[in-house]
Amino acid sequence: MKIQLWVEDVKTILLSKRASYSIIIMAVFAIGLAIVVEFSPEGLKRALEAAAPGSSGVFEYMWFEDFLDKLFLLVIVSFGTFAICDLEDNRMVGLSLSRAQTRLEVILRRLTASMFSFLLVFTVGSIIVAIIARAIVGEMDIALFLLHQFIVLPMCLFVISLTFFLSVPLKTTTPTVITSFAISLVLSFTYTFLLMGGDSAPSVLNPLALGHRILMELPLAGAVGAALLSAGVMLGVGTVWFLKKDL
Amino acid sequence: MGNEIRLGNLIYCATFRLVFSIRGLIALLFSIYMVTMIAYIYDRLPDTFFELIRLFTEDSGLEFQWFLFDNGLSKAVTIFVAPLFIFDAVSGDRSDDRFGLMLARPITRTQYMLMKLMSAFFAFGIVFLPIMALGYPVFVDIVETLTPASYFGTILLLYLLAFFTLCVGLLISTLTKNTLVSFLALFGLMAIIMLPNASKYSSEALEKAAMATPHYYATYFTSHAMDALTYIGFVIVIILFSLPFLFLAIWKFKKESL
Repeated sequence: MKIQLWVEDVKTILLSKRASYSIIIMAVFAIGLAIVVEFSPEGLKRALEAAAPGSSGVFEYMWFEDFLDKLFLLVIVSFGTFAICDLEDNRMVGLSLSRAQTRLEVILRRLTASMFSFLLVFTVGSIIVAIIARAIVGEMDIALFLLHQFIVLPMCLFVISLTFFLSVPLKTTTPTVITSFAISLVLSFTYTFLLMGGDSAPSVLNPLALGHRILMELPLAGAVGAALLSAGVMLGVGTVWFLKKDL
Repeated sequence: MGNEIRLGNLIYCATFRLVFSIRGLIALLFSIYMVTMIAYIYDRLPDTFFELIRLFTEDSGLEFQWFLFDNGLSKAVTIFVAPLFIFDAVSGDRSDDRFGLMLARPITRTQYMLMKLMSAFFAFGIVFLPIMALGYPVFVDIVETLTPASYFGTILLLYLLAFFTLCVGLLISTLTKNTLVSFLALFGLMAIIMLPNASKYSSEALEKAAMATPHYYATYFTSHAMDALTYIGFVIVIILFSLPFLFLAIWKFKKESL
């Protein structure tokens, strides 16, 4: 894998609108949710805090339950489209593969570049969110919030892998994004609905429930393992499928 | 007259292209999922949840309507299902270099924009309304207090809320060149607009902020008894919220150098 090309890919993503929009969406939602927390009555705040013993405060509870495992999914999906969809949309697949590189090198380069870029954007975004929340809400353990943001990364990896896997047959951005986003949303809504209906804890096999498990101080090892394993399977199968595919 | 017929045909073709596409299928499956899941879960909700809902609905027997429409569908429609039909309406044609072909037909740019909006509006209706209508007999079995007027009345308001989303989506699609950026921007904006209404029960300040969004009027009758005059007023309010976005989208598109 040529490192210059990999750096070029990372630069392309970081300078693209998806990176800037991701940070803007995170920051705007941090402001919005922090204002909601500020205007909430004390009784409600205490009830939410009691409902999420593992959280760093009410803001984190709302951030995880309302934003990260639902609204933020589209942002994650947008990074997963880089590996194949961006090439297909710009009709660059042939050109990219005509260089002195194997298909495997191309796909690994683009996949790792998209994951690394997401990690950078997510880290910067999380720090901005933590600062905003602390400034508006006041009572919040920033270090604990950031730690939780990193623990939830296997969920993000799962969504990126799902998007990559779907992009092999679907090729272009539009169908890939809507399909991957829909599947992720359904997984997220399912655990939320089942909890409303009286389930005591979400299934360890649902990677979208990782944030909820963190807030509820439920055991994480099985859920993290399941998320990583399913992400690995989708990445592996997707890569093999792309290598065997008649382009 | 001939031009009107051609525009009608274009809307008809575009509507069916949207319905019989992967987005139409996903919108259909997602709507079925939401309705089925809510019907399944409603009977299993714990008493504490109902007590909480009654705080919002003033114990008026509207718990189910609140749970279905305010808590579930109003969010799903505005952030996911309706945007599916519009987010790449203009930006998709632009990135695929289809503009020349589209505008080579005897239609004006205004008609082109209206075609995009109306086809998305009809396609959303074709997917969403039958699912909701089919859901009614199921819901009536679960909730005795549910009346056709309050159920279908709120569905029509949600359909208008989708019209608002489509108008905003058309504007965003006109402003952007890339379909992914269109989707991200539309989704982000709709989620922000939705936020005050989703949190309106927390405080009076947030309720006042929610009143500046069409979501408040579309979901008003999920926590208040319905009366005809207020209903008509709210229909007009939601349409008035939508029109500036539509006019802006058409104005921007007419000024654009292709």
